Amino acid sequence: MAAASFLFKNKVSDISAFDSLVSAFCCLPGVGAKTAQRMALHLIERDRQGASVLSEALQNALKKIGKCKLCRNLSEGEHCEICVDPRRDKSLICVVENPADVFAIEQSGTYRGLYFVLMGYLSPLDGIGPDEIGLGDFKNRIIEEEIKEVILATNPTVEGEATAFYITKLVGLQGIQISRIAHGVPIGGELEYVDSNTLAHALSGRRLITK
Amino acid sequence: MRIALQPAFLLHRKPYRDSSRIYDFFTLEHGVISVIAKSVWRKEKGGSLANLIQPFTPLLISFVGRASLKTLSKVELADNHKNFSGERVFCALYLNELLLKLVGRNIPHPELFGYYSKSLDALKSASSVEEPLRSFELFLLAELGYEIDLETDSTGTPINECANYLYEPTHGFTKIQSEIVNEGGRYLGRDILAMAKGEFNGVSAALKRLLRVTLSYHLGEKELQSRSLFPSK
Repeated sequence: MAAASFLFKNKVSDISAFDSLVSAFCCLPGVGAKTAQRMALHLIERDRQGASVLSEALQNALKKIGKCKLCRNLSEGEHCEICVDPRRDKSLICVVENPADVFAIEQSGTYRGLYFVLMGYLSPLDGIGPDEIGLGDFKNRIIEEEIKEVILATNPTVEGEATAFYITKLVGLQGIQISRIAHGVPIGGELEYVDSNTLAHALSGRRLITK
Repeated sequence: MRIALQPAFLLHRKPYRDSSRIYDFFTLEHGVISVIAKSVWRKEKGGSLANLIQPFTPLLISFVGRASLKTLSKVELADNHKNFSGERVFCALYLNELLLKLVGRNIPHPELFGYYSKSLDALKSASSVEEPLRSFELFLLAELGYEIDLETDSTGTPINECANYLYEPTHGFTKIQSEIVNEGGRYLGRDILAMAKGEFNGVSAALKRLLRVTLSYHLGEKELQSRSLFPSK
């Protein structure tokens, strides 16, 4: 709030409740003073019902949503729906960086295993080490559960690769199969528009279709 | 100020707002600079900016601006990405961290730039990572004006092969009578002379110790995080 109030050299209005609503909106990424004011005006002037739905939903979400104890993904209970779903393949675990990555993989509809969400990646320059991304918990989970394969789906960036390598070293000793998602040309893409690093990966990771 | 096609390596990036990023580049003629790039996910021929700007990739960057934070206008690939396998990527990240934490902003270090590029190649191909890492650390200290004098002791007398020395970052080597060497700040004269000649093979542990003390002295309160990625060492 202090940072937000710094944005307003002059008060927006004489109504302090309105001012505090505007500065509260500034906590959203990409929302500055002007956008926040527009949002606040819209809710107060035109859509009071929407505003009360929004405030209830926010309160509710804050109260109920925590982290799943098994996969660290966002969850309403102690364990998330994916972790307790009996139809899921419990021998497969996919490591991703963010909850958004879980949504993306779930939308693809092809994966039926479990997840582990790191909530970040190894980035020594930002002070994020193995403990900050829960690799200790991950190791315990690998040892305790009967997992046959770990799929590393961290982003294909240098930090993502470093994270994948670190996990490989961590898991490698347990005799579990480890795989890395493929990197290459997107579906519907054109080679001309693909950067050369990706193309190099696509070529080096090519697949035989005839023997 | 408009700078075109400046050779550069990415050291670090942080997200800024929705689709912008602030990049720290190490450039040939302008040293370490911070540059803001907007709409990094916009699709372009040859990949979006975010795809293109990766660490350890030789880039040619164009930027504008007088203030300390420049604005990126264009990026081209100068060469292929240097792919590091396994643990070597941690070593390469360590070089980046050293540059970010020790080198002042906007000060040109063209020779260091060349050496950094060579060190990345060496890290990729050398059989052991020790030598490229140690030579980079020595070169970096020398370039910044903190060179370790490996030829004379604190009184100006040449290092004696048979004597033992105590090292302190503020004073350099001082001759001591003690027989206990190769621990704490104590070094053998002949090891120091081997380091001076660039023969790191037999003395890698002593050199590592020496550089660690010196680097942590110059880093002050800043800690090197990359080391936490090497749990076994």
